[in-house]
Amino acid sequence: MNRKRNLMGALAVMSVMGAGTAFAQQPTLELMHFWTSGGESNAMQVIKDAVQAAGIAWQDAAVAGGAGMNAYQVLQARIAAGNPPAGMQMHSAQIRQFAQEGLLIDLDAVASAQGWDKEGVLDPQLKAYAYTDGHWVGAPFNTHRHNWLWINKALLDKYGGTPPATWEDFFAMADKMKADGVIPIAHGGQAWQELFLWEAVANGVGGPAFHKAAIEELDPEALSGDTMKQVFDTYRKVLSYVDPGYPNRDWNLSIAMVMDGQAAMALAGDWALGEFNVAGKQANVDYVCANGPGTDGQFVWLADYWGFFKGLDEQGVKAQQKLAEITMDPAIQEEFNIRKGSIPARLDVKPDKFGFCGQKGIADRAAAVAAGTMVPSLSQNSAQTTDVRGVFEDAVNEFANTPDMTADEAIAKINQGLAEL
Amino acid sequence: MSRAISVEGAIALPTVKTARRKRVIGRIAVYAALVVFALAYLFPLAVMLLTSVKPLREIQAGNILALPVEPTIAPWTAAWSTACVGVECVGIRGFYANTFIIVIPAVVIATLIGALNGFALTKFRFPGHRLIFGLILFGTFTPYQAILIPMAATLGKLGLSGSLVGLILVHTIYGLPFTTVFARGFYIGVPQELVKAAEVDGAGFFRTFWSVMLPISAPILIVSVIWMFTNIWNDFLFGSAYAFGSNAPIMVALNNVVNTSTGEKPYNVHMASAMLAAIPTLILYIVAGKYFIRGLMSGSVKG
Amino acid sequence: MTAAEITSANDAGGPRHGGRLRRRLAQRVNIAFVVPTVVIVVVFVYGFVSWSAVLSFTDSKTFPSFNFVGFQQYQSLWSNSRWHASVENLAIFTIGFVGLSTLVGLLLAILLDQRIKAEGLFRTIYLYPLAISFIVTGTAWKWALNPGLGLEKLMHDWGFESFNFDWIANPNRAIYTLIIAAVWQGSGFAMAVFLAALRGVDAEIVKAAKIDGAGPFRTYWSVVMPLLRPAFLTVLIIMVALAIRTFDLMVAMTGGGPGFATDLPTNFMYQFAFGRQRLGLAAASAIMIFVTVLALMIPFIASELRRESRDQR
Repeated sequence: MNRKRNLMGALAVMSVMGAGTAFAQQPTLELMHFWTSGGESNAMQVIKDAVQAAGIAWQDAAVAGGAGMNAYQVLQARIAAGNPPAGMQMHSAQIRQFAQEGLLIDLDAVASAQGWDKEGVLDPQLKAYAYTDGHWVGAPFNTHRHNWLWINKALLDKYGGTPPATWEDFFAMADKMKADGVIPIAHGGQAWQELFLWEAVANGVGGPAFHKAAIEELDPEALSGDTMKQVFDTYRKVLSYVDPGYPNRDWNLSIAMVMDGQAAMALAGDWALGEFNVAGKQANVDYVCANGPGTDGQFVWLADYWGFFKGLDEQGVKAQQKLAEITMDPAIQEEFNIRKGSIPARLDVKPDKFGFCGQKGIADRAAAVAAGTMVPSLSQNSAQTTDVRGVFEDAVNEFANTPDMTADEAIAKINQGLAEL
Repeated sequence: MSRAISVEGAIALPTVKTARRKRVIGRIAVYAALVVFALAYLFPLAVMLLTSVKPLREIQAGNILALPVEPTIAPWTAAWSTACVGVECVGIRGFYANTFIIVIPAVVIATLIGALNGFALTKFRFPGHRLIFGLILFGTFTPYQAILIPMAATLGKLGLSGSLVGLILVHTIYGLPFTTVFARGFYIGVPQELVKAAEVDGAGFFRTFWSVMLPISAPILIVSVIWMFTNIWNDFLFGSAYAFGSNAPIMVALNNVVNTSTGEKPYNVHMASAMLAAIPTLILYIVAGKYFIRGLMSGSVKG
Repeated sequence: MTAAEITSANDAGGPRHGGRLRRRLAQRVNIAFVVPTVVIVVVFVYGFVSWSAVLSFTDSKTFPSFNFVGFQQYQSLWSNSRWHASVENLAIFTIGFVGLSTLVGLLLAILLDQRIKAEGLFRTIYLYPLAISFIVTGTAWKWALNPGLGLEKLMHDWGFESFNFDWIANPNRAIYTLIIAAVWQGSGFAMAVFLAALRGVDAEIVKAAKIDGAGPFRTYWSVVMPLLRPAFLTVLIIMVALAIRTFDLMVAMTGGGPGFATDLPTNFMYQFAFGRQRLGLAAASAIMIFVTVLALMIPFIASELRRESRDQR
């Protein structure tokens, strides 16, 4: 017994020493991200395995929470300490912002070797962020779709069988449900979810042209025009169909309500797929994924990228470039996104292996890219800088929770907030 | 414990019988109040415990105090060893050691220095002692988010960014105002005679502190240790910003297990993880409680 | 010996022998023990806060910049309705939390000081909320108070159909639910401080009061309470420090909502500094809170300290 233990101890010491020497030879990348739930981690594993197979050690520095804000808090402290991680998961707005601060390495060599620039590889809107000020600075690994409406199949069949094509249809259907005691829409009153819902309404009511003028270009006329008022009024009406338990409800509880038939519909991005999958629910059997009301033909997108910080030695930079190359590898993008529930950032990955909703997403995106109806998401940091997004979020939340606030007052709030930036 | 101040004993006694009845009623009232409070305090724990042994479907469907239909310990084993704390799904078991390495030195150093400060500020007064205490005291109101960045820059310059030593330093520094406030609040009530008696015996500052003050300070040292231990153990802000990678403390791991915006949320695993992460603190409360005995000062004064 | 005698016994002050030189030398030594803490606090608290104060006069976005813009950030801050809401919430929260935690903590400490069997068990029960991270207990509270999931549903299930408790969803009441949860967490600590102080009270004084014929309530009110004054001050400081830093609880329980009904300045600071590239504005908000707390607490604490010195003299 004793001898055995000694032997095991010796083995342990040897293996530690072995690990130590391997560590010294191998380049190591310290990577910060905010994906830590089971499904997210499972997807990240795909990239990690490929990185390790390429002889690079992956040191994980995940910080979850606050929709990535906790990670940014840590990142800012680390930049101040002169000790940023090798790479960080970023949304569109942040990749541009950190690139403009001159903190990111450029990936031009990898991009040209791998042909990121070629027609049909990346959507021009997404590329506009990955390629900032004449350099490739971000390696996108996925695209999430924003404008999905998730519907309980049994309830849908009971109330007409076709998903509502417009917000008018939605209200007609919701009234019938409400009369029968079914909660028409499961929603959570968290700040980001309110902005998400508001933007879904804006896309359905105003369409891509309005989104572009009012939200992307902040055109004063569009911001204060009749469409904007209509968006707020419609949003107010949508909120009248939620149940009393909605304040601060997590989004996944809303999805659970749809699964159980407690609620008929929920608006959420394709991250909802993960919940349906975990619960073993089938598309078109248990639930239906439809375009958000009034958004047929639109593809409202958000993406995640790697941004790589300057400061590593030559070997480290090579490792960073290798990770970028791996991330943009079509096979990796395919496997990663099947696991994550999103779709590849690359347009040229075959959709065959994706589920029904994933395939629909890929097809809808192809159509939207061709038609020029891709719409960057404001609520998920793809349409605006974070300070502008914040102005919208605050105004929308105040409106949602102040029953006697008018559309005009909300619009005035937005204009006032923007003027202060 | 024998010197506890008892309410019932203080009642003037008209007759033995009524006094006894009053006494019994008084005891019952005291215990009843304690039990009612205890039940109220335990309610959220009951919710957490019940949730942690239910399958996810039951949680989403049922009443928060409903007993589990199919009880399971799977969430606990998941929290311990398979919950994802990042790209690695290793549970929170690997994060205790790091956290102890941070907590123990910071607690010991800050508590001792705080006690010394409190002693010096109350029993050996010097000019400006009130101003000095005021300066230290307002350190308890430091807005941590506002000092996050300059502290990071300082640690970077000291070459301590990302290290356990750096984090110990940070916790010690921002714990000092608290430990000083605790100690001073206690020592100010300690009769000056104790110090005088020690001086008559020829003891200097340090010996007086060590052999006269510390022995009677158990209750307040416990308060100080409870505060420091709990706060450092449960700290996320400093831990995440100043000690990363393999040095990450347990709250960073717990946060990664429970906090996700677009991932699924196994609430049962979350609850189990939180309770597992709290075990060291709970043990401390139980063990340290033994030293919550009455001080010895009245005896020393008389002696 | 009565309380009055004890305090008058302190009158003499300082060692009676050894002369002035030795006393002065001793004073030097004592100062030397406090100096490191003072230096640390001055640099790491006041120095760093001043750095934030400087930033609050600049247009810093993601990173510190030193392009000064006067009071512009403060103007933006005070014209922001979310900021107004969060300051108001903090005022209500601080008063409710500090007051209730002190009251409950004191009551528990006095009850526990009655030679209770299983004192350790009770004490641990009152303290344990402090141990469990609010990242998670916030969720338990959120459910417990959610009308569709928690207490209200429970009472309905048990047949009390008219039971109504939807404060967490009610913008005018939600802040009180935060207070309830925070008191649950913090009052145990107040209890510990009071208990430590009670255990430091000279039993002779209490015995003397009893002999003088004082009843239990009078003994506590007029003999023990005055001796607990320093403990009250400690509890007040700690509870105010806890109140103004409340963050995890709010994030997990209400997320600041409904609307901004439970938003707090810490969240405001966090959101604007790290989520919205408005470091200058966030710095201004941090300085406002720090300065306000100082302004409110300094007169009170100064008078408390002066009073203590008087009592000692």
